[in-house]
Amino acid sequence: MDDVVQWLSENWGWVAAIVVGILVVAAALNLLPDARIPTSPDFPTSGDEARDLAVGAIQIVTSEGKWNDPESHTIRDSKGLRSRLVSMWGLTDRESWLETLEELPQRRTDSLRDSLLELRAELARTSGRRPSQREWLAAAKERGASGRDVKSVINAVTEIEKSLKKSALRTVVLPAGATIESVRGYAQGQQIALATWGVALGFATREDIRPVLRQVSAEARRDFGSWEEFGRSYLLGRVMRLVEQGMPVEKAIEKNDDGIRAYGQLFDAKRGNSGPWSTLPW
Amino acid sequence: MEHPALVMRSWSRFIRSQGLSGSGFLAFVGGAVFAAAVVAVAWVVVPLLLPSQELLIRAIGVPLLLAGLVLSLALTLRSMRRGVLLQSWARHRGLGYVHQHRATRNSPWSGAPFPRTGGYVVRHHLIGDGFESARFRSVPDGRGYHSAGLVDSFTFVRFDLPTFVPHLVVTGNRRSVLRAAGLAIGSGRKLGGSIEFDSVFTLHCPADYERDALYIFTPDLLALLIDHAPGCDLELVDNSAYLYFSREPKIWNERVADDLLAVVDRLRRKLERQTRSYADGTREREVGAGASSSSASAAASGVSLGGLRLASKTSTRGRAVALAVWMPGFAVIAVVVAQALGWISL
Repeated sequence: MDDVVQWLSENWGWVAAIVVGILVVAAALNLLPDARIPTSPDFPTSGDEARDLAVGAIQIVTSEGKWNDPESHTIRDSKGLRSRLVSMWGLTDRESWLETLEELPQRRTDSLRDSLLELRAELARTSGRRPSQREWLAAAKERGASGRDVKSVINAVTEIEKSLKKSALRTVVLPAGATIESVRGYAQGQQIALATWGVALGFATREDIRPVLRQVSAEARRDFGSWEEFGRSYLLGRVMRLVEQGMPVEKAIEKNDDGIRAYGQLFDAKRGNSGPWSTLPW
Repeated sequence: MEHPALVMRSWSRFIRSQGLSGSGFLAFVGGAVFAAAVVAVAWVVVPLLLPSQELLIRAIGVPLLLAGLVLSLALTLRSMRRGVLLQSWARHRGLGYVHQHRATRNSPWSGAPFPRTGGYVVRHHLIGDGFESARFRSVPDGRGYHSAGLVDSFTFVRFDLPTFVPHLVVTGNRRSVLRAAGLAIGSGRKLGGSIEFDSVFTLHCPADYERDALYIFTPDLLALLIDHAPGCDLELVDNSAYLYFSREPKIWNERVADDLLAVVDRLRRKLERQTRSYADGTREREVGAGASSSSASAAASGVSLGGLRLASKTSTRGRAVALAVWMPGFAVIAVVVAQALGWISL
């Protein structure tokens, strides 16, 4: 012990320098503003079109695009991104793109998951709070739904929601009192992004996709009451999709980190709520 | 007898489309090289190290080793040949074909016998429009998770239904593929499809869905199952039908494959007729009563929650196999503990 004290007193300059260095790095990391949501300077950030595009913002930015770009230039200008998109989504021609766009809401439905979320929404409306996992399971059993599939959906949703309780850039995705009633927001967000990708791939023009953007955006507004509600639905749907494709829940949650970050950036609470989901009206 | 050039072209197409590993080509070539090396070492090196055993090694050891390796290569070659025939057949009928595929994630099929954790291997996977067929085996995933280690492999055929239906399962009374695979339906009601087929089949349906089950599984549908798919189990879940076989039909034989396609087509058309106008009365009553009116479109299936899934459990056979697998381990532990405590001395 004496040796350590003696060494510290002889080398106090170095020790102080290291401590100060660590403090400076930590302070800089904390004080530096986080990156803003990727935004294109060539397209408006307000108005009807921007408001419609904002519905697809998480999907667009997590696919390396700019949220307000209806022509998806990032994808149009990158051969790698284009070929990845084509192979992932099977977008080989205009017909396949239109078919995917139209069928997306149906492809993102899952009878058991949707019915269980519907049941929980009912329970939440009755009790005025989000039911616990146990209450949800018991209510499902009461309705005649039991077995490993029911349990695994309820467990997965509960686990995912735990991960949504954390704060993303000073914005909590899922506050304690909120209940996610459906995952329809996920298909809607994807539809908006997919429409802009169709422009990037040369299957349509910016004008062609305007009615699609307007319609999907109107549906989202009918289904949800705020950007927060919509965003939560999108994120839960996004992770559930990975789980339904066979990914373990914890891995799917890890993969959603970029989605949670985009959610925070879209509100941008750190800069006084300057993100599009804060400035654009729902 | 096909022309050798055509045969060569089929093999070449098979290896190119399935890949060196997926086609089994890599395993065959690697195995042949390995076999040659092992036999050479056994013939030359081992007698040098053990000169007194030279005669024994060369007269018995090497031939036995050679026989094992040749058998293994022959099996790989047979599997590849079956793949060539199946791919050629599938191509002529506009179907996709994957010879073998190993996945470390959960299976994408919603049928009851598919495990929800762990990985899987499928082989002879035929993929068509709203139709697929494969031999399925569950395996541990990358992290060693495995929910169905005791489930035997089985063959399934899946095809689309025109609408969502309640979860209904028809199992054979004498031989059930699902039971053999280690699975038993653990909830719902058991029904006789009709008096004459009670001895052959058990029809499982969710509680309160007895009438719906009999509406879909009419006696002529069950007769069709007896005539054309004896020994098979049939499951309807969401908007898919799964037909299960315990033994793999020899679909690499063109005639068998055509027969299977014909049976599936007949069953599919019959089930389409039976289910097209199906509507879940329970769901309609719920929506009518306003139980979930504000989000009635949320559950796209149109089937009430209670009708969506039957719970399943491990079958008696599955439990017996589990017991047989674990018993020796438990016995060893018991002996070690008993000896440590001084209850027995060995």
